[in-house]
Amino acid sequence: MIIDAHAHVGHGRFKSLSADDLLRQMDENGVDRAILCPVEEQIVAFNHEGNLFILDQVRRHPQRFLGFAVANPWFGEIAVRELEWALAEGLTGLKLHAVYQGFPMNDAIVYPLVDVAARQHVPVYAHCGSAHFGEPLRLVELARRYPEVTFIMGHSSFSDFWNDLPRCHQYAPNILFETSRNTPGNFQQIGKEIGTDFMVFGSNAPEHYYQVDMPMLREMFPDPTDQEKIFHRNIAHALGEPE
Amino acid sequence: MIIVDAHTHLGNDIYAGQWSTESGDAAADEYARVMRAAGVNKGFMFTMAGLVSDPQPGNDELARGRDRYPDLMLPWGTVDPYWTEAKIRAEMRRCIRELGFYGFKLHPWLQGFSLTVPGMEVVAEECAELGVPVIFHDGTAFYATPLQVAYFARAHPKVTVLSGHGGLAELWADTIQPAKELPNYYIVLNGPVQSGMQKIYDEVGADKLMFGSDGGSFHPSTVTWYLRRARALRAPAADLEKILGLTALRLVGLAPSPEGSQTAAAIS
Repeated sequence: MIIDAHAHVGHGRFKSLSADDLLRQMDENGVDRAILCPVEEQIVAFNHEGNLFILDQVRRHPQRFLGFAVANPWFGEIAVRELEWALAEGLTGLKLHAVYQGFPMNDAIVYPLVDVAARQHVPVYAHCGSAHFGEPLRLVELARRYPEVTFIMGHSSFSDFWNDLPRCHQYAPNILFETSRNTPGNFQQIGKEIGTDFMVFGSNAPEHYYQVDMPMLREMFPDPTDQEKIFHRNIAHALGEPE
Repeated sequence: MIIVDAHTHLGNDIYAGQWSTESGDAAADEYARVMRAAGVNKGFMFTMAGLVSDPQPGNDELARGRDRYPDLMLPWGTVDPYWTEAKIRAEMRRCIRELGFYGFKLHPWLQGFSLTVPGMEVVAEECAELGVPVIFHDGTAFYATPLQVAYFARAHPKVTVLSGHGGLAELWADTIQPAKELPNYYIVLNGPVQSGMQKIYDEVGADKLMFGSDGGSFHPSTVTWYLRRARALRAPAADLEKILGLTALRLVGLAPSPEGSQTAAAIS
């Protein structure tokens, strides 16, 4: 079983990929399931439109797709209600993007949304790797406030925050490190200093291609047990799925 | 097809905390093993230890490696822009005229300088005088954004400037306009997201682009992954041949201009 922990579908300013095209790519590369989230405009402003679209894809292909909801914390109570509604309808996590949504990842503005995730026992995916708002240690600050919540650090903070990752794990063991964008050198460090129990495979489709990145991860982690953790077990556990 | 990796480092694994140039021939042997196993014919080779400690021993290590593997290794030196003007000029001239290097690699983040410090004017003057390019780490706030590198290129039109990482995952879009506008600005495709690499190619074309891996000091998959990524570009075979080697060879004078009669294979 292979789960892609982070893929985008829809048509946005930077990313454009239909659900059918993603399914075709999944089939060609042996990816069983993918966690979907919307594209840029829907992450920033049109949250409800994005959540409806993702819910529709999940309902069309319940065996293949899961979905994370988006809610911009600047919308305050509206965002809280949107997240509660989307989770009640069937989405299974929260996606935050501190840069697109315009807030420091550890700012109190996001607490009401994470409160919802904590109450609903769903994971929170956070884009990381951007200077200022998206620094990994900002996510650590948030994760330390919510030790009961599993956070997924987007892109394991690529580009140049690799120095901070062992300390992130040291102070916030409730963070998983998602692989998209990142490089073999950094995976060597994460594998050695943090371990494969905390890595989850993600494509950030359509940014990256399965046929390019999956062989690299298998080269980096040839042990089948490590591959099972990275490609399936760790994210399945975060989603509360049975072993 | 000749394959040139336009961004490699000689040295130990940085994650092991080993920045020494005292590894003797072992680092060069490992570099050659990794590159040849991946099918790479030549590499623009930069120091690792020399970027975080004294540059001169790093430059000397590059020369020793090149002497051991002259067909494979094309060394580029480094200097510290906070040195005295005389020392910067002397070391740059030593690298090119005595050691036979091909250019210079500077890393504003690791070496801790802004591209606007006075020493960088000296570096630019020497690059122009010596007729060699300079490559910068880029893609990282705060001293190494692609726009900072592009404006260094804009300010020094006689110097050939390479974006060493194409802006990495977050800032790659900022490399496109400079590459289209500035004749002296080139991009090594080592770091943009895959869709960003494709966008850069679609907008800029192959004559300004080079394959690069950041390999040598890292896991062998660093090289094979970036080769796989370059080959995944939707581009005609002739353009892939440029990106994978010809553009880099032309940049350092080892291949003819497109109108020339000498073939790349003849100099490999």
